[in-house]
Amino acid sequence: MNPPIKKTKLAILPFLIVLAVWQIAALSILHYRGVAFPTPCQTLLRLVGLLTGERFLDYSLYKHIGSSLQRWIAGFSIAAVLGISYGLLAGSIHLFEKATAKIPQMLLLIPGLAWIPVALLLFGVGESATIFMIAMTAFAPIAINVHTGVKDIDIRLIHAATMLGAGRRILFFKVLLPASLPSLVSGLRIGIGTGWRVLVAAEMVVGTGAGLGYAIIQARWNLDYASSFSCIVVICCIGLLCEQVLFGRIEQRMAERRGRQVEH
Amino acid sequence: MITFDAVYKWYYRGKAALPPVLGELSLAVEEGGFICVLGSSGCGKTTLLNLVAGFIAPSRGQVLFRGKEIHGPGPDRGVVFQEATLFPWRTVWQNVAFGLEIRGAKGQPLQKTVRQHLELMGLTDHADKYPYT
Repeated sequence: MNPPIKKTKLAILPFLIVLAVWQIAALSILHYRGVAFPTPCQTLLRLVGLLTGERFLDYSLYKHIGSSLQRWIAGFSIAAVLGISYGLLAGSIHLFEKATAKIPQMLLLIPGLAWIPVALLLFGVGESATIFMIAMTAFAPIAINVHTGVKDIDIRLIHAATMLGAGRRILFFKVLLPASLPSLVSGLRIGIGTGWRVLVAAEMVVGTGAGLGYAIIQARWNLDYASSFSCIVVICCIGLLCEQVLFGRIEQRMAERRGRQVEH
Repeated sequence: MITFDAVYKWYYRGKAALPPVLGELSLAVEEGGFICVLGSSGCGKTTLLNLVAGFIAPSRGQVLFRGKEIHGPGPDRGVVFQEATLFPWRTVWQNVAFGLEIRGAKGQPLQKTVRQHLELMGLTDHADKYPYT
């Protein structure tokens, strides 16, 4: 078989398996429990309706997507700035590392939804609480990855640069930063996925008035399960698009430049 | 001139000091001098060079360069590493230019020097490639 065709077929396979399992589950649940579980077809039809402008919980689907993306970008940006700064500092200043290295490790162990009471106490119900939860959850994987990336830099590269006369500033910007870029991108990739997952969950609980998580839970109360499922499909597609396509490509490109291959 | 003055160097395994790799080594290398250090694997040849480069510090004694104690790496002393030490995120051209850029070279003089050195090494056709690709 032609390798590109084989690759495409393999890429489609997981989706086909999910669709098949979903269809079988929907029919079985209908048969045994008498509950109308939306099938892939019903979900797709509802999704097409929503995408062509049908209103849903007072807003269009695009408004819900937009609201979620806005919160996601805000929370993730805060996490990225803090995580990258922390990782670079901890990787280059030994005393700072000693004093703080356990903090991101501890934060990593806290599930995203466990931040709900803290977020509500600090910011009350609404946007800020959701953004805070995303930032707190996405910070740890970014910080740890960047820190590890800086620590793992080949010491010979630092020796070579200092031997050529690089001072601390040049060493930081021209060696440490570019050398830790693959770990930084990996950290951002994990952080963006983690942030997306907690965003949807937070919207379900914290109550935001618009957003994909909010829409899923509200549609469920209205017994509009097809809309709930449509939102889940949208969430999955956006997550995949960012994590795999955007960051996957950046990682692949960096790996190729460095003479390595990345399997996706 | 490079001078080793009663230099000891030992490494640690955990907190325990291992037997010294170099013991009371005194040595003088004159300006423009050429010396060859021979010895079996693990006898301290690389340690000796690392001390001159300033990558490591002596456990006891002093290493001096032109009468001043060496406290770290610097552009006044160069070491050619055993393995290729290239910045993988920079092209061949950019790798050659790195040291010159640090010293403030730019524009035409920088381009000319890099081009000359690439020609000298027969790497002109590979100037835009990345080292490990």
